[in-house]
Amino acid sequence: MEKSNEQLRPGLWATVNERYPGSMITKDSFVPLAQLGKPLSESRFSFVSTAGVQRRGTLPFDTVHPVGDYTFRRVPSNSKPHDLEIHQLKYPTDGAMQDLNVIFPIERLQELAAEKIIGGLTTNFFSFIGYNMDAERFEKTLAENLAEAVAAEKPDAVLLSPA
Amino acid sequence: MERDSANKLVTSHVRRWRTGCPRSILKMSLAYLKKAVEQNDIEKLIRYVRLHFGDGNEEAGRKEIDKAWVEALKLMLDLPATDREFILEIVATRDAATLAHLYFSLHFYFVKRSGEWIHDGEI
Repeated sequence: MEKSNEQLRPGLWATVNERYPGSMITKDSFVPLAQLGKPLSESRFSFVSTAGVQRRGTLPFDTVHPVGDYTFRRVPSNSKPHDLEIHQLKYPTDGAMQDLNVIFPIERLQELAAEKIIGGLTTNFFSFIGYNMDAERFEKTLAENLAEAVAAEKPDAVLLSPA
Repeated sequence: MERDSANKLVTSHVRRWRTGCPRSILKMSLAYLKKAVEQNDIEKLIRYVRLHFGDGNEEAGRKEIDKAWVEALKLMLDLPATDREFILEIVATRDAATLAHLYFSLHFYFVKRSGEWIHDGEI
């Protein structure tokens, strides 16, 4: 397959850079698609979201910091929506407040696992907020720490969901 | 041992991604702001603050900052008793970065307290 920007919406980075001048995002690397090594019904899934979802009572994401928050939270995959809350400022949450599954489909994934359509879920899902203006810090801290934490849960597949 | 293998795999993937990544994304986004600091380019810096408070809309951000100050001022007009000892202690004992973080937090606090919340989510 030819390497290109085809995975990205045309003009995406221009939009981001206008909205947040100095972001300097011109990413054009191509991420190759990976093949699932086993049937869905035997595969353990994890879920990573930028929705800022976290367990109630845990330290809220830092939504006021001008440069962003570079931490992530583990969200037990057996959580119920009322166990969870959202801390972020950069996307509309009205729908998510009515039904968290529209942004963080935890109950749908639990159902798929219970119905054996997928092989199971990792013990934890993961969430962070997408407002991170320091790309290098993001890569060296949040991205690496999160990747390590996800890999430690030994998923066969990970669903990535930007909010 | 399995965990070590997983960590090595992740590190390997991240390293490979970084090696193949264009220089453009490896630039820090903050370079723009740090350069503005070096050049004392106040307009770039305050525009960033306005965009932050306005969720990407500069004019909305300007109003949000004004709103925070007005809300704070309104609370002071009747000269209510306030905990000055607390204020003095915090200012005297905390580092400037923590106070700067508090400054941003207080702006959002007063924006929210105003009752007019234009932001999509919650702090």
